Amino acid sequence: MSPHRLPEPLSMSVPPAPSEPLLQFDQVVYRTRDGHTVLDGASFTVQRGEFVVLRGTSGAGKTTVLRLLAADVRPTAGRVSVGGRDISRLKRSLVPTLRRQLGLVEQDPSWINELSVGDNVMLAALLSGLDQREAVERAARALERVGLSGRGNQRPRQLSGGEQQRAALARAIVRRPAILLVDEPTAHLDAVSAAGLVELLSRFVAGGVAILMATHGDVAGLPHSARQLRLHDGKLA
Amino acid sequence: MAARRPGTLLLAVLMVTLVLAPAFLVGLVALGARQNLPIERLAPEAVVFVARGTPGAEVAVLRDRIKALPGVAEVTWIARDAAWSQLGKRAAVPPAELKTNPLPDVLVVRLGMGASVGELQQASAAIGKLDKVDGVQTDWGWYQRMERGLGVMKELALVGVILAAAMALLILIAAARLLSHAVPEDLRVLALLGAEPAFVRRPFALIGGLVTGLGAAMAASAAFAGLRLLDPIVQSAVQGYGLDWQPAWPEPWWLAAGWLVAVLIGAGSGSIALADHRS
Repeated sequence: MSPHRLPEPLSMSVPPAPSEPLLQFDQVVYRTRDGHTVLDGASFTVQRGEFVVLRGTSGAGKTTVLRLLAADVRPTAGRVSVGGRDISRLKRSLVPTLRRQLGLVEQDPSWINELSVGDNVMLAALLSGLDQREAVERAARALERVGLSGRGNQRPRQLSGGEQQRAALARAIVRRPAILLVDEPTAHLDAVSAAGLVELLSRFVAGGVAILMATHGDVAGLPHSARQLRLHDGKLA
Repeated sequence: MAARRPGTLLLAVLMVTLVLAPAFLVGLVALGARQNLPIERLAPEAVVFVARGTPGAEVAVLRDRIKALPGVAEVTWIARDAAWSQLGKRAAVPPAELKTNPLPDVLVVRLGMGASVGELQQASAAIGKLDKVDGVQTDWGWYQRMERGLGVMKELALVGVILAAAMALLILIAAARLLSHAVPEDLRVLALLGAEPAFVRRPFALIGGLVTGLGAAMAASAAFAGLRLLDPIVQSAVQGYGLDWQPAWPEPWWLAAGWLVAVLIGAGSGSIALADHRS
């Protein structure tokens, strides 16, 4: 398995030290515009090669945690770090650069429906600056790794829910990120499909990828080394 | 984007063509009028009656002196014999029956356009003081009325041009935005994957520029074709006033610059339209 690329530092300076966590929340507070406190001093770290499961009921703030890590929203207070860099006050112009370093899998994956599954996956590779030839190769390998080889020519909506999750995972890994942020990937899957998907994710951990997976229920197939965080009343335990 | 909605593309291009073609045609006609119609014919004039018995050589000297005066654009000498002959033709009286020519030599003095009535009066007073000048006949009233009329027309034309330009701009922007339809999900995907804003904006800018660029080119073609059709009509109309008409064409670089402005307006509008669709 090819070594996964560490995220490029946003300022193109020295990469984070091996012992430094790839993801870090330090006393993060997040309040919505109407004053509702979603996170109230949440702190955690995720090291490289770690599989961390973020549990919580619906509305607990799991997706908010992932959105903060993807710089989709900014924390009200506290510090959010990705790849050793503080992104709490990241300039909007640098957000695309950050996201190209991450692998993001949404609960309900979005697609460019005019493109095939293969082209959707390839787009992610092209946006990272890869040339057409390499992007095509990587897309094919990514789809193969998630068990969707031969389905690249289909449109995303022609796939089942589980297959779409796998395709979204292929799109996330095609750039070989060091960090995968996965939001409720098993929410609409049956137990068998869910276990299969989790098992697939586990394989990436073995390659050194840090995975933060949000879920509201029990998930079968988690590796023994997976660490679980519970989000309750805005805090993590 | 355009391939998915060819009908909308055609509509957008037609919108641009329909708004620009008449404006362009009016501009071509105005350009032709400026180049062909002798505006100096509207200049104020004074008729100078030369004293009877003044020899031709002295009339010529007087003409040159008047021409040298400030504010005088041109002096035309109508010799008494030529005038008498013309009069005879118009009166249908045989010249042989007219024993003596009562007409004097006349100098028609054309003054400069835009001169005030005060300046015109000063000029005619100066002419009147010259030797061999019997009298100076003027009628500044019509000139004042014409100047006022022209002034009002210019102001109305300016307002009209500004309003028409503003309308044209709004329609160009609307046409460019017609095709700037973005599926929010597509934008969400591109944001998720870390696409730079320029990458996302580019197709919208391109389609906007395409719409206005195509429309402007078609409008120019339609205007030129329209001018060709109008040419004989305008020709016959101006010939009744003893004038000639040749269609005027703008310099190629003007056309290129105008087309480029249209493309830029379209590209900018399409790019800005993206903001409406951002989730």
